Amino acid sequence: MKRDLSNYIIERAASGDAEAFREIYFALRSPIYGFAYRMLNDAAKAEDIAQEVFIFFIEHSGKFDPERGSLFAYLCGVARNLVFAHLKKKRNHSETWLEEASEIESNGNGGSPLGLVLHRELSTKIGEKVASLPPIQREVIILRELCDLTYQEIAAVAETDVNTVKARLFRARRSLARELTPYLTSSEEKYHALPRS
Amino acid sequence: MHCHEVENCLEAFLDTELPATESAAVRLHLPTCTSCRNNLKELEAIRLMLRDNLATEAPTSLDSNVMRAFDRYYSGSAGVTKTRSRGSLFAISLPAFALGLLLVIAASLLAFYVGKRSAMAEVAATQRFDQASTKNEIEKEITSAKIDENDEREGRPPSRTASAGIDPRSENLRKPPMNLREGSVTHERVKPTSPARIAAQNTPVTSRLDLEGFTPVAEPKLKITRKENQKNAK
Repeated sequence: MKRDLSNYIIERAASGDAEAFREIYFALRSPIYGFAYRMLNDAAKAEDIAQEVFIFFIEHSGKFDPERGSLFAYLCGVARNLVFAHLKKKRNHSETWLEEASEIESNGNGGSPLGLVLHRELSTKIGEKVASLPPIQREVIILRELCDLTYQEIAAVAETDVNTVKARLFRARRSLARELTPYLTSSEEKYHALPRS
Repeated sequence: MHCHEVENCLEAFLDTELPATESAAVRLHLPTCTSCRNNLKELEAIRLMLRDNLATEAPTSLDSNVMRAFDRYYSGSAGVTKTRSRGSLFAISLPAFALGLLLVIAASLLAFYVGKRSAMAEVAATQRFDQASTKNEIEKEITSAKIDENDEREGRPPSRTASAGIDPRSENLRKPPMNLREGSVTHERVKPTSPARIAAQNTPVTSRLDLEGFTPVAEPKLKITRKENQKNAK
């Protein structure tokens, strides 16, 4: 995924160039939406948040400073603030996750029907396990594994330091390993044989 | 590098966040240690699982909304309006729902209270009307009894004029009876003409017999009438 956007494109988008804006938008829309969706597990709310993030960029593109980090990390920070504001308002978000986890579709799966069923089941399980993490651990694991941010960028987005990010990541991974290892050991070969996007 | 040291930095090694010197030391250790290799393998598998399953495609409705917002902003409109997604559009916030429910309950209670009050007022008005009509009848009877008593005292035949609806204070009634008017000094009592009049003559004026058929609701009024009668007698 192409997320390294040049300053030239960002400047052009900020000055109203629709083509430049489209390039930025299509490079960042899925990870931004995915972050909001995985944090909230509410497709409608995630769409609202992603829309607000891009509208924020349209209206306040001058606020972005390329020297402080990438545009993607900057917009992840905006999305993170909106997500946590929503989580504060609605504390019982975990129930909706469990209700809607079965609707999660992974993209571009081609393969045998059994492979698809297994993949979907595993996907649901992983979604549930990630949802069961505390929000601060969930946040770092999503920013790391879904958004592919560096420790430094995660620290900037989560408004903390790199050591705290490492500690949160370590705890989140240990917790997920405990929960997901049975699926790995029993069907590691099967999992590796599954079709991937 | 020992196993416990490698274990602590395996994640950073996997995330390529480890400084070059430490990374080289881990690389040297891994071929010699099966346990650390297995740990790394497990971490890698979990990471792969997460990366494969957490990715989510954004809906196409988001594209049109954002592009429209961009066009509107740069076409000279004052601000960009946010289009709510379908799920949020129909969602009613909890406080708004609670407020609506409270308003409905309050309106129902008010309607019930007003209806109850008007019904009570109607009943009270009916009762007052009934009492008033009874009282009027009693007063009429008492007035007629008074007239009879006066007639009796003055030697006139008792006439139930009040009951008949004639004003007892009219000129004709104040005139003495014919036998007195013609200069007779004897105060002869005129014989009663009907059994009812005979009974009325022989019984006390304010006795309950006189009020037979009427409910003595206004008992205090009757007592006052007796006093008044005594005063008149004196």
